[in-house]
Amino acid sequence: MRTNGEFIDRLRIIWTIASKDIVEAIRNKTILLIMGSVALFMVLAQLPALLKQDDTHGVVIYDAGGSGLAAAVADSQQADVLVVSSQEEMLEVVGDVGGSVLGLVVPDVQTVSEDQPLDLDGYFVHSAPQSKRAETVRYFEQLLGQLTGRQVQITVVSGLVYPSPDAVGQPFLIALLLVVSIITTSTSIVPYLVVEEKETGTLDALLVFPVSMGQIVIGKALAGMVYGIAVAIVLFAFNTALVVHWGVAITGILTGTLFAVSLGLLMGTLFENRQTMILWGTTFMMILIVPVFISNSSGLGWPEFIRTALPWTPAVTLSRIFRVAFSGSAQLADFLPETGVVMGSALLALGIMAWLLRRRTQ
Amino acid sequence: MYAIEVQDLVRDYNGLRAVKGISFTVNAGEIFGFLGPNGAGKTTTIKMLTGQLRPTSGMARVAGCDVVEERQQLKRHIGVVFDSQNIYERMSARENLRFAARLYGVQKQRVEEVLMQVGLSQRAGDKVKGFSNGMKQRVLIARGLLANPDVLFLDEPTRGLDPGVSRDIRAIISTLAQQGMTVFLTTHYMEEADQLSDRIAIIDQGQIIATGTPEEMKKAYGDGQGATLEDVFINLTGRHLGRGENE
Repeated sequence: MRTNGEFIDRLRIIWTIASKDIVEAIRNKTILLIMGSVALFMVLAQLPALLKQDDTHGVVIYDAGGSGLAAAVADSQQADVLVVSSQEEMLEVVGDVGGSVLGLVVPDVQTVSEDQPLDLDGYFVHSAPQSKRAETVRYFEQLLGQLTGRQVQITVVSGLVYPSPDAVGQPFLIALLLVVSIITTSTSIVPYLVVEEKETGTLDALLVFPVSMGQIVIGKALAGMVYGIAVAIVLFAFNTALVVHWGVAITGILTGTLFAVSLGLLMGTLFENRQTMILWGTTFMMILIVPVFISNSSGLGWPEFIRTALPWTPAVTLSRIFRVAFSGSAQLADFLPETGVVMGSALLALGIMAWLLRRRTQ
Repeated sequence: MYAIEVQDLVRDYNGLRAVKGISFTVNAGEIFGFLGPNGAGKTTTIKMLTGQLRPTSGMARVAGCDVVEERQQLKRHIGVVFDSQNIYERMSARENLRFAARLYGVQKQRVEEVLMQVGLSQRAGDKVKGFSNGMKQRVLIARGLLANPDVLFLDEPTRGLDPGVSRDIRAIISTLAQQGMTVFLTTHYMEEADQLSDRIAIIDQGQIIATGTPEEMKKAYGDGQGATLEDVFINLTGRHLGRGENE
């Protein structure tokens, strides 16, 4: 029977390997270059949103009373207007578009006495910044006041508007960014750590220490997870306002990083030198990531089998988990099958790797 | 009890028999020279004796541990100095040894002891990347000694080193043996084997073709007075050993 002491000893060995790799990665110019590229990609992808000095104001109007006010706003050319045919549709559009787009329900203006202020319900997506909300409300109160010749008052109804998991706006872009960054980081760093040890022969040295192959693998996986999780934390730090369900977001980070690290370990086992690793690793990574980019264009005449398979590829399911974290509803059924796919893919990669390692040591 | 006991050890690679049923014993505290040309099966034998490679058949015990059944225990009783300089070059000598010490579960103090033992205390904080081959070899030996092993495996420890450094390394090996450590040494250099080894085994094409003390070997297989181990090897195999830089 194994004792607690033996268990702690195993953990100590795993952490020794992991901490060595974490520090080694920082000293390694190639890995620093990879991390730098991912950071640059993250910054560039966030830059337009951070630097946006957009003076245009967006509004989604459900003209319940058929007052023609929506058409008047559109004709004024002082705002981007989308007219929808129901309140549900308005809420859905406001949630999916994100940013500080205002949703408005316009009642039948004729039923409101002319000496009374025109009271309208306004809606923002939950992540809209408070300062921007106030500014947008003021803008549309003024504009609608000019157009109707009456005093207009917009009352913001809070806590109702969230993006759906199928939203194609900001939530989709951030989820895509998370998937690409996590997968790129871990599937670049982990195989590099393994292949470099193979090339320099230090893996052979590790194997004559009182260390098992399993402990080496877990140690390297931990190091890869640290970097994958660090990247995810940085991205979430920029987008905390988007997150509705932190539990689901953390599930996505952990399963996504585990999946990427498992793939990295498999790649490290398959490849014997850095050249083949870079060549095949990059190709493999592209195949893995491309489905996320095209997952929202599945209606563009893709063959049926692609449209069926695409949502269940690991990267797309991971992106879906993040989008559920950003959405209003996060029932277990909304993300459990996706989590299963990501975890299953990770276990499959680990299984193949274990089989390859066993074959080699026999 | 023998420090190393090998019986009918066989290893196949893709249908080819690299090691063909070798048997030998090594006494505790002796330096055992394991000689042979490239591809003779030396490294495969070392890999099996150090638990890196599973034998196809046969039995081997090192420091009382079965190399297959007690692989993890075995690793606590052996030190291995590889024929390649496999150390972390971005780390300092001390960092390399501290990392290994943590894996063995030995105290930091032991790191300073082995650094002193191999004469590296002054440069211990320097990155290994800037070290000469001789200094790297000292780091490797220090790493092999960290856990104070019962048996130290040295695979070509002086290959590629200049004569002065080779002499220093040989002196370290002799001192270790005097302190009671069993040393399993493979080398191309016949003079080195002659000078250091208490007993020798010659392996060729996966088979041990002779074992004995250097004197016994020269007497039995040499060309009379003044015979060298190289003569012994040529007489036994009909071939020369590969020559190295410090010959």
